[in-house]
Amino acid sequence: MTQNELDELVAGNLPLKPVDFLVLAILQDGPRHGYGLVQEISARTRGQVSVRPGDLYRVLYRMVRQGLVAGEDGTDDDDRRRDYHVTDLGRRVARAEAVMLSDIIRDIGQSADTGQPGHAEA
Amino acid sequence: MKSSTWFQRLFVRVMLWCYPARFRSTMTGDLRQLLDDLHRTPSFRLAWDLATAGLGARWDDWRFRARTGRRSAGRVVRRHYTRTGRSGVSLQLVIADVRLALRGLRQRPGFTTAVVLTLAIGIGATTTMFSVVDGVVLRPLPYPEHNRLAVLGTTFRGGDRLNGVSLPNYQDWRDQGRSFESMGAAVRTTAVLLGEGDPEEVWAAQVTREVLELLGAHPAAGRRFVAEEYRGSDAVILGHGLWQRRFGGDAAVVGTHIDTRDARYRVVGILPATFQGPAALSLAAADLWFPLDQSSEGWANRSHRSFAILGKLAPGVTLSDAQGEMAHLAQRLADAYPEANLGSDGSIFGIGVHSLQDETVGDVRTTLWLLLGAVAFLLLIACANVANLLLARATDREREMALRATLGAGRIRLIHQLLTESVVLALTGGALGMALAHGGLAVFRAFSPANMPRLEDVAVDWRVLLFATALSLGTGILFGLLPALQLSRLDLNETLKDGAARTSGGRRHNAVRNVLVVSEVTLALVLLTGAGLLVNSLVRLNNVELGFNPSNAASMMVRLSGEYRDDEARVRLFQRVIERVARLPGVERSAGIVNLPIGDVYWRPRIGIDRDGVHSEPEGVNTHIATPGIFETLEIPILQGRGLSDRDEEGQPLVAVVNAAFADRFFPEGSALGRAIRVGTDEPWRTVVGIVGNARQRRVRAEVEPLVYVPLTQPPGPFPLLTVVARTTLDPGALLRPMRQAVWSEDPTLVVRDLETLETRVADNLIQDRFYTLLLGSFAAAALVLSAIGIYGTMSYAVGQRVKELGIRMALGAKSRDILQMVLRHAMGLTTLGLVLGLACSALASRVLSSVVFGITTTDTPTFGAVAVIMLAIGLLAGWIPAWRATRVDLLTTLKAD
Repeated sequence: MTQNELDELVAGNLPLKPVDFLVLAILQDGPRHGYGLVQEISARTRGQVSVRPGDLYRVLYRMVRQGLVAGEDGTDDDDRRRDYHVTDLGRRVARAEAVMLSDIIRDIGQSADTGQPGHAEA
Repeated sequence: MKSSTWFQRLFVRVMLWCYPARFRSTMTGDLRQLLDDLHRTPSFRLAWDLATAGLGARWDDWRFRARTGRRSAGRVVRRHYTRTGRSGVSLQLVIADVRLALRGLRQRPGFTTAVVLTLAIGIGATTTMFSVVDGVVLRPLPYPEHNRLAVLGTTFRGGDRLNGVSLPNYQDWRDQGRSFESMGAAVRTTAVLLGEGDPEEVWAAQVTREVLELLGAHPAAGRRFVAEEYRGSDAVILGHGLWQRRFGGDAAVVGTHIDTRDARYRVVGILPATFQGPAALSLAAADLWFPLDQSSEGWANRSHRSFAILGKLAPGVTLSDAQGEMAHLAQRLADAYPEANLGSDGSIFGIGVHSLQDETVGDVRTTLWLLLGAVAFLLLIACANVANLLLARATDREREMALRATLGAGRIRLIHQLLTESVVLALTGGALGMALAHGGLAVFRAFSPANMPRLEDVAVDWRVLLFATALSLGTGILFGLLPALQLSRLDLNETLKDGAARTSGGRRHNAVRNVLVVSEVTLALVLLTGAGLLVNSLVRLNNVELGFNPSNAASMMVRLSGEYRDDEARVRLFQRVIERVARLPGVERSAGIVNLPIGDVYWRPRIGIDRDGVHSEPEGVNTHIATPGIFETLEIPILQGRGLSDRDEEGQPLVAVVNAAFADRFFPEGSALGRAIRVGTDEPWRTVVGIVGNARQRRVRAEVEPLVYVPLTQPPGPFPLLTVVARTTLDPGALLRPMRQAVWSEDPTLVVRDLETLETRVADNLIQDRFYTLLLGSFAAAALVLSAIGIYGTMSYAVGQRVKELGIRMALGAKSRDILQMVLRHAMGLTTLGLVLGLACSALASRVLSSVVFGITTTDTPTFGAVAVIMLAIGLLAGWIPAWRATRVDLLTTLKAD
């Protein structure tokens, strides 16, 4: 895959949904299984964000399809939990999103300082 | 690790079933362990949660596949991003772009629907009007070398209107006029067909040899008239319509005889379906064509001006050349025959030459162009709306475009792609618009007034198709170019870097969008004002004091045949018919009048006034010939004296009744009662015995004018027709058949026409006004909706762009009301600016309606006020929703939004 193609894939996934961003951020620190992610999201946001397990599976499934995360390959043991890890693409997307958000936050700081909107007319 | 219960296993199995199959193996273990982690048996809540999310995932899956045709993104890069950076445009590229555009549009069904519908309305309405203008005005008349065909007529007092011509004058014009290659005379008559079925009165034409030649009338069966048949014969040629209708399209009718009430004729030919007589000669409806008999008495009488003349200009001669020559000829003829070619005031009777096309289309041309203009406004509004939508979308796509530019797509390439998208949109809208136009035409035909010429020529054909396609392509390029240029000029680095660039580009966009919205409001207001003026006029027309009571009354015209040549016999027959009608169940009273108010028949003799022995003949006055009881039946109030009575027989003192307008005009100094007047020069004097209220003559919108009523029996006039009016206590519609039956039981060969209730008659008289009001009204309504969408869209978009700013303002303590005011101020600013411009434009543009409005001026203040209020209300509403939504912004969503 060329650099251009990769760039494009990254841009195509932006902006991220808040939950996607959280999932990617958590998985940067190491693989986790589904329910572990539910708990970690709640912990990292000090309980502000709680995701229902069902919804998380839906999100995970979508992210797998987008190629942002990947699940552990299947084994014969149906009772064993599978971990999810972030892909290279997922890592890049998360980084791009982080840069974008930090720019926005800086913008907000400036607007708030001057009390003027960034663009006067709507 | 605990082993699961059977219930837990079943639960997991059912839940897994909700999720896409490919995901199950990955999540099975997770789900099983989850139940352990939660230390509980599965609850309904959990089941609901898992099941809905699972089905949601399936839905996502399905949508993803529908959109991309693939199961997952994987390593595949969307190929079109990197396709060629060269600026060349090839067919493959066009196809690729079209496919790309189609896919892009499918992905945004809301956006696509809005654009396509907007365009369909604009293009559909424009195409409908174009088909009408094309069919009626633009399309050449179906006669050979129609450009050289002209209609000639007598003109009075320097006027431009063409009047009838006498045959001796025609002969002089034909023989002496060198501007014309050929010239023919025609006159419209009627004939009553007998034979199978009810007697039917049809329009007939008597024409000279030249007319059929000039019109290129070649019978589809049989032949034209031969030379000797023009010298007096029983030959007749049938029109196609009559042949189909009455003779079942049987070609064997050629050579047989048909009977009319006056004579028996031999059919020598049948005209083809494609042939129609020219409306300018009043021959459009002619079903029977007779040779204009050279033995006809008209050939001898130079004052018998009832013929229409069709001429063909000699090669190279212009209309004005011909006019110049004929002016000299008119002078010569006036010198030679002053008794027939000079007016009573000494003015020369002129010769008018009009092109056949102009004379056919006449006044309708202006109206139709006006409507086409109105509809073009609608199209412009639609275009502005679509440009607005595309601009909004362009802003959202800046990142995509920038990326593609980075990947090597050239500027031309990007413009090409964006234009392709607009054109695809426009063509889709155009196709839908064509379908709308098809329906629109059906509606137009159904509602259009009867006097619209050539309506049968109106159709959606290749010319209209060409027009609609060109229109769609034109609009597609017009509204697609602006966003395309803007997008292709992006600063790539800025756009790609972060979200901030997306808003900084907005300033420029917003200026354009504001201009678009203001123009929309302006255009919509012009249409709205036009429609408002027409609606106001129509309301006034509907409330016009008719002067008689049209409800619970019905009327029919009875036309007598040649048997009733004797005046006495004619009057007796009319009286018997009226008596029969009066005896019908429910009928209160019945009376007859030759020229009913709001009718086509009129008689306008020069009136004579006796003022203390001094006679004057001021002018022609509409004169009614009526039977006793006419005022009571029509409920025209008798103001002074009496109405017509049974005593006003032949041999009794001659009487007349006048209306109030007559009394005011000619006897302003005192009562008209007892004064002497006469109707027509050389007529006997009559005494005015009554003054009645003013009733509208001919048209509802006509001014009140002086009228005279004289009894049918004083003396029995030469009129072969009478309109019988009946007033009933029952439903007048149910009276129509019995009324006709009453005529036929008197004489089954009598022709009954215009059988209708008086209310229908009055309503039909306003059909043209209603039609144009309906048309302009619907254009205006569509324009209003479109501009409301425009305002709404722009404000929504502006609010969307400022959501961050608004959120911060709220967080910093701004009240909902302040936000609401801020957004509304913007919306109302645009609306008000458009309103002011629109009112100014309307004041100028509405002048074209001056001949259409009734009872108001074209700058009627109440109408303009009402229109302004409507527009403001629409602007307020369209701005309110986004404004209200803006107040719901909170900081958290704001941050999440980017």
